[in-house]
Formats: sequence, C-alpha cells, structure tokens
Amino acid sequence: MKNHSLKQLLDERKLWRGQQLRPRAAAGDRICTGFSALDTALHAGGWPASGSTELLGEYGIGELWLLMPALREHLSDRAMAWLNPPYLPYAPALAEQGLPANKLLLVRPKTLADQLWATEELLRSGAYAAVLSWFSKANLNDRQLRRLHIAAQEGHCWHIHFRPTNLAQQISPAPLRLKLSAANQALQIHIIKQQGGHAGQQIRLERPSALYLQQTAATSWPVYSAQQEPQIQRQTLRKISLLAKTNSSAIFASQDDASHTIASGKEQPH
Amino acid sequence: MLWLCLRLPALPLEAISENHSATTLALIHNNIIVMANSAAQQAGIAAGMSVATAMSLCSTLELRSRDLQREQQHLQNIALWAYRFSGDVCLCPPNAVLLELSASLRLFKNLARLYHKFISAFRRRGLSVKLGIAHTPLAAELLSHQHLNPVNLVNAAGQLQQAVLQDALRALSIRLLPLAPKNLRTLQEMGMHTLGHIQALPRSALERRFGKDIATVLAKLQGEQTDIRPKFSPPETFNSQRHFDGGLHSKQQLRFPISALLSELEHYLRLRQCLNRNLEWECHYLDGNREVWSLDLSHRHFDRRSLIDLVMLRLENLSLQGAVETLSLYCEKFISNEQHNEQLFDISSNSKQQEKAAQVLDKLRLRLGPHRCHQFNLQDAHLPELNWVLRDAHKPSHNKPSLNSTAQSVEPNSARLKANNLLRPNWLCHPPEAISETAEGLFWQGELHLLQGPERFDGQWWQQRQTRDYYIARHQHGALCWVFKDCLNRRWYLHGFFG
Repeated sequence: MKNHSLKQLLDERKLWRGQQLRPRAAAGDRICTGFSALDTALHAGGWPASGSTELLGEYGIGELWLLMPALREHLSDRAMAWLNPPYLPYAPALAEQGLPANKLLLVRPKTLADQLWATEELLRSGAYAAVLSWFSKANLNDRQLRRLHIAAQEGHCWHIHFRPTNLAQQISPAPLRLKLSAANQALQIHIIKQQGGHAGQQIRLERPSALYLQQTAATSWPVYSAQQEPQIQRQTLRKISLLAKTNSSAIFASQDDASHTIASGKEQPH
Repeated sequence: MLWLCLRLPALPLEAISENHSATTLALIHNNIIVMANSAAQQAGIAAGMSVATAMSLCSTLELRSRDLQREQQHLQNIALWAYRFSGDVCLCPPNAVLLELSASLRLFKNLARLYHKFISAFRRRGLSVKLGIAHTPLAAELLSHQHLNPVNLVNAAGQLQQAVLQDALRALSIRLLPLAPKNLRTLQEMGMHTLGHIQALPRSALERRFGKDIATVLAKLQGEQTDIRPKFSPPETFNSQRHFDGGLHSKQQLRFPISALLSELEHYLRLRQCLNRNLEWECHYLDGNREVWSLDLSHRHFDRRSLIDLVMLRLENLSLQGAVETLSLYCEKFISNEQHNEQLFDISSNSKQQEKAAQVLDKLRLRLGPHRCHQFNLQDAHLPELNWVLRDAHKPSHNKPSLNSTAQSVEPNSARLKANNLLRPNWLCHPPEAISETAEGLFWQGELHLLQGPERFDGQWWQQRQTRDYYIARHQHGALCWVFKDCLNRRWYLHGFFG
C-alpha cells in the first residue's frame, strides 16, 4: 500500500529520484576535471560545461590550478573572461600552462551593478567558454545568483563563481558548490552541493611537490654585494645557525635590518 | 545605351521639409515666390509673384527662403540611392539624375519592372518624380520634362518601342532645348514649335543660320555626337541628417530617426562594399547648442538591429539638454569588407564566435567605459611585471595577424620556460605589496614562511637596475605566495600567489 502511494507520487512527478538525474547529466556535456579522484566524486563525472559552479575559499591555495585542465580543454574553441579578479592573472604563467594570452579577457567594472550586468552579458553572449567572476559584494541575493546561472546555461558558458568561505551555509541556486581549503601540501575539497546524488564528499588533491620543496641549504640565502666581506661571512654564519635550529623555516634578523624592522612593525595589519 | 532621367520638379520644396503638403507653403528668393506647394497653388499663388501679392492672396501662407545647398544635398542622396540600380549615374543640376540602364536590364529582368520599382520607391518616400527614357542622355533629360506613361513606351515583353519614342521626341517643345533665348525666340517666330520641325530642316542650313550650338545639340540628341557627363561616385564619408520641426524631447522618440539613419548607412556601406569603424552623432538643439557623441565599433558585419541597441545604450549615458532639432550621423573610418574564404567545417562557427565576441565587447566597452576591458600581450622581458602588457580589448581586424604572431612567438618562449621548469604564480600582485619584517619573520596579513629560493632577477640596468631575489613562501592560511627581496633597498614585497 505504501509502495503504491509512492509510485503515485513518482508518476505525478511530485517526487523524483536523484539517481534519475545522473545519466542525463552524464550523457550531456561535461568536462573532465583532470583529477581522477575528483571525477569519481562528482556524480556527473566532471565539471558541468554550462551553468554556475561556486568555489568557496581563499585566494592562492590552488583554486586556479584546480581549474587549469578543464579550462585548457574549454579554450580550444572559445575564449574566457576574468571578471573583477582580486589580483591580476599572470598571463605568461597561464600561457605556459596552456591558456594562450590572446584568449583571455579581463573586465573590471567599477560598481556592483555593472559587474552583474557585465557578467550576465558575457555569459549570455555565447562567445565565451568560461567566465570567472569575483564580485565586490560577496553576499548576492538568490535572484541575482539565479539570473547568472540561467544566463550561463543559455550561453552554454561555464560560470565559475568565486566566493568567500563564510557563505557555505547560504543557499545558492548553483548546482555545484565546492569549498576549497588549503591542507598540508594539498588542496582540500569539500563538495557542499551537487546534482544527481548525495553531497559531502571530501577530496584531497596533492599539489605539485615542486612548489613545496623545502630547501635545507642555507648557503644560498641572500648575500648582498653592497656589504663588506667580513660582515657578510658573519651574517651568513649566523643565519645558518639560526636556520638549523628552526628547521629551515626562515627567520630573518640581521643587524642591518633591525632599524627597519621597528619602523615597519607598526604598519603590521594584524 | 539606354538612359533614364529622374526629374524631381518639387525638389526645392522636398528638400526644405518632408511633409510639405500639410500647410500652404511657398519658397521665396529675393522677395519673389519661386515655388508654391499644391495647397498654395490652389489659393492662387504662382511662381514669379512678389511676396506682398502672395500674402494678400493668402494670409496663412508660410514663407521659407530657398536653400540651394540643401537641394544639392538632397539630389546627391537621390543619386546615391539610384547608384544601386546602375554603376553609371550622373547628376544633372538643378533637379535631375541620369542613369545608364542597358547594363542593369539583365539584372532587373525588363524595363517595365524597373520602371515600376522607381515609381513605387518615389511614391513611398512621398516624392514627386518624372521619368524620361531615351537612347541618349540629352533626349532622356528632355523627355523627362513631360512624364511619359511607361505603358505606352514599353510593350508587353518589356522592350522599348522605338516608334513611340521617336514620336514623343518629335513632339517635344523646342523651348526645352538648351539654346540661347534669342535663338529660341527666332525659331518660334519662324513657326517651329516642336523638335520634329527642326529635325526636318537640313542641318547645315540651320548651322549657318543659328551657329554651331544648334547642330551640336541636335547631334547629341540623335546620338551622333558623344555626350560625356561627369560620373557620380559615392562620397568618401557618410553624412546624413534628420530635421525635426519643433524638436524631439525624449530619447525614445529619437529611436526611429536613429534607425532610419542607420538603414541609410547600411545602404551606403553596401554600395561601397565596406564596413564602418565609427559612428559620430551630433545633436543640434533648438537653442542652438550642439552635442557630439561618438561610438567606436569593432563589428565584422553590419547588423542594424544590434547597432540600434548599442546606440540606445550609449544614449542612456547622455542627458538631452533640450529639444533636438537636428540629428546627424557622420562616418569617416571605413575598412573594406573582408573576403573570407569559407571553409566547409569549423571556420564558419569560429567566425560566428568572433562575431559574437566583438558584439559583446562593444556592449561592455560602451557601458563600462574605455579602460575597463583588457587583453594581454606578452612581451620579452625579464621582470615579471614587464613581460605582459594590458591593452584595451578592441579588435580591429588589421591587428589580428599581429595577435596571431604574438601567440606564435609565445610558443618557443613557453617551451623555454618549461625546459627550465621555472615556477611562476597564477596571480600577480601589481604593484607589489610591501611585506613588513619583524624579528619573528615576515608578515603580510599573517605570517609568511619561506619555503624555497632564491631565484635572482637582475635586469633593467639600462634604465633603473632592479635586483631581486624571489622566494616561494607559505602563508599562515595555507596560500603559497611569491615574495621577493629587493636587494637594492632591502625590503620585502609580495608579488603573487600560486593560485
């Protein structure tokens, strides 16, 4: 009897199974993330090719590195746009990683209204494969977010929306939301929301070890030509001893810079 | 050769105002009525009257002075319009345009259809026109004074009936001939009123009696002597305007004239087979002020509908200072239409993408201002802040090859970088942010721990020497930073993130 009423609900489309969404998404367009662990964790099997994807996290923890393989694949036919990024995308480094400089567009509107408008235009135009956006006001309302998502779907554009971590609890219409955080030599990904099944997966992606290479040799620490010979030697020796004690995490305290330290210590933000 | 003459008898009136039939209107020149519209003519006003007489006949008469310059402009516009039917168009001032049709007949099937096209086009614009068709330009010009019904001239198959044409020519009044008035008077006194009468006389006798002129005119009329006319060619720049009596007050009202001007431009571009790069608009206000605003474009083909939207978007930023009396459009930058080689696959969708990208770029630049959209150019330089250049995202087509070449030049460069396996950050802080240095270490919104380095950059010795040691550092929050110590002033700076 129970089963029967459930069937009725299913027939009336008032209720549906999450798994039913999965083959549709898989058959549709998706982009391989380039990380097999992430591909298996995502029910769609990769990044969505269109629509909004939210990445919540800090800057500089590997958020662009995570996107790089997918963007490289995207950029084979269309260009990509950076909207109001917090820092400047460093074009030579991106070119080295396979994002040619002539396919990058950087847009920096002044006001939030202009930012929203420009993002929507870029998404809807269909001329861009991916739009990476940062907004000056982090807490956008549901209507604004939904508009961006729909515009991205209409323009077959992948909208990657970077937002701060504290918005993880807020409801968002974006079908895929990831929380990024830095772990020890890795990027920790927490899937907050995804279509086609349960969310909450935790993935850890190791970043290139070359970045985290811990240098032990202290002889190559800075040596300044302006200083006299004996002073340099004394200083280097001092440093070596210091570094050895603190296990190579650097501490800089030289006599020359002492005055300097006091002056700049006041400007410290924390 | 087949020549068609379009004669606009009411040109002075039409040049002054578009709907001149609404009121009783007359044009004056030196206090004498030059031309009156139909309503004024019914009131008894005729050309040649003095102003005082005319006013006494009709007190509501509106008088305007004749504007010869505008008439000239109007005639040019007609010629430009006629240029689409034939490549051989000449102006015959004051009020006629000549077209050579024999070359165009094949395109337009036959003469009757072409004739109808002309008539209906002029009727749509509310212009009165008289047509004359003949084998020589002079004959067409003369015949256009008396509007011949094409039904009589052209038979069912669309061919010109020679006999009818000759009859019409013979019946022409000799007053129309371009001869000295004295000679005309003498001819009339001799009892010769039509062209047929003169043609019956021996040419040499006429020449002896009236001079060489009459023989030349007759020879040109018959096509025995070549009649070379200066050819009309479309002007190098586009310039057109719309006048509004009483002025327009709102931007929405301006939409219609803008659309009309753009469609005029579209025809002009089609004639010249080129593409405009800018639109210069000028508003003349009723109080005599004027305002100029311009639009730079990077589109790859002319699409009027999307252009209207762009113009209206631009107009949103402006505030009208009053009622707009005249709106004019001026274009001076043109590029020739690109001849793309259509390929079977791939490329067509690619060009469509570029078209879309150009459109959205135009929109963005308009709303956000000129220095808000950028693209990157890579350069060969040592310092990280110098090996790229931001340029305004604007893609004129002639820049494309250079773009491609930079992209190609990047390849060996990046290969070199890869070979060296250098670590470069994805984010660049520009300008570098100062890091404070304390006894415990480096601070920038939290502690920084150096991981590896240094990598020495030493360059720019020809300007101002820069010596920097770059390190990779880990931020307290886990971010990887690219920091450097300036060896010359011994300060630490944050220059990027490994995002």
